[in-house]
Amino acid sequence: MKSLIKLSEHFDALSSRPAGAEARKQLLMLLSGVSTQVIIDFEFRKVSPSFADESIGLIAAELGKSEFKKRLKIINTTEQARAILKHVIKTRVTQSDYRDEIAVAH
Amino acid sequence: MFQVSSSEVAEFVESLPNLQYGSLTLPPFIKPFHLAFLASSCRINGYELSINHQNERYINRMGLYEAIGQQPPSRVFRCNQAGRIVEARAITSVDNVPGLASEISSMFQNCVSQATEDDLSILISELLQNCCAHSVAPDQRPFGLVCGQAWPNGGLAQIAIVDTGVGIEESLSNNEALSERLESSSHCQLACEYGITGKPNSTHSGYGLALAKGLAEQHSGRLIVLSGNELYICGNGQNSSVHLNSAWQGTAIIFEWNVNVALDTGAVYSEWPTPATMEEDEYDEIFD
Repeated sequence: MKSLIKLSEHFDALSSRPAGAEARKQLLMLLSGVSTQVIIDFEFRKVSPSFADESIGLIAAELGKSEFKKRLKIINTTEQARAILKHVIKTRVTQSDYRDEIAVAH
Repeated sequence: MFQVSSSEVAEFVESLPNLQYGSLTLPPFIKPFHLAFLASSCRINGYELSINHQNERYINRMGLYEAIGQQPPSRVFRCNQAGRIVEARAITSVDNVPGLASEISSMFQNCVSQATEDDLSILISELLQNCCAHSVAPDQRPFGLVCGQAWPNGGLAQIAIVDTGVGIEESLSNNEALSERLESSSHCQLACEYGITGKPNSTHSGYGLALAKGLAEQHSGRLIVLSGNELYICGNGQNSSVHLNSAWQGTAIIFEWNVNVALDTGAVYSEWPTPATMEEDEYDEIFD
């Protein structure tokens, strides 16, 4: 089952780490329930780096590349929002992969 | 109109100790950074803010007294200054940051485009969060002061954020990986690099000052970061550090930009380093 979440219904502004952490919590709850895929609607709102990192970046790190790609879809983003979201996803997934490699090596 | 210079800021900060003798001299042309330093200094030292200056009405109008919890000497007449003035606001909790950032950026709506206003809001939000997260010891409440002004005829605007917290050096010293670089580099300059944070084991990423620096450099703006005995200036051909004779106990960020040029956070993000192992379009498929 696919679920749609409109961030504006839950957050006044997509610009702080606390709001990003709350968004992550809500998205992970959806993902751990019956949703096979969650569609996140940004409704062309401005997104700060800290919100993007704390929400989408850390979910990407937690799920890993293939699971993240399979289970999340992001729609209605501005160019700026897309740029920072892609950046935090790539950065967090790489950091997470690196930590996993270190853990295996030890 | 000339952009703020390192000597202008350094001289004023070095003169702040004169406040205790009541002999601080304000320059004829007062800018937001003067006011933010002045009010923060009075608050941290417990001095009464007492201004004998030709621009007393302007200073009163900027809300300095209220921002540091003091009674203004006279009633303030507030006409609509949207697009020109950001009155001094206290930053005391990260919960207030999104609202404050949005309110401050909207003050410039008459002289910047909607896209720039949005990007300003993002920048201010990142910088105010830094103020709350990095300026204080864990058991303290944050306190910072933000104010700003636009001079549309001069094509310039300035935002100043001044806090009286632990300062950048102490904040970055919590990150052991930076200890060698802190010995040899300007800590204010280091703090402006992408990905530099004093909280490496938290989720903090060091994006705020890197974004400010990127915007200043890409759009002929100016960023000054001052903490302790150091001042770092970048943007519009500048990239240097200055040693101050008098330390500021906390951190100050002064950001100036040309109001006739659109800010573009997207252009700054695209310059940030991405993992070499990834293709540019690696995650394109998740976006619709």
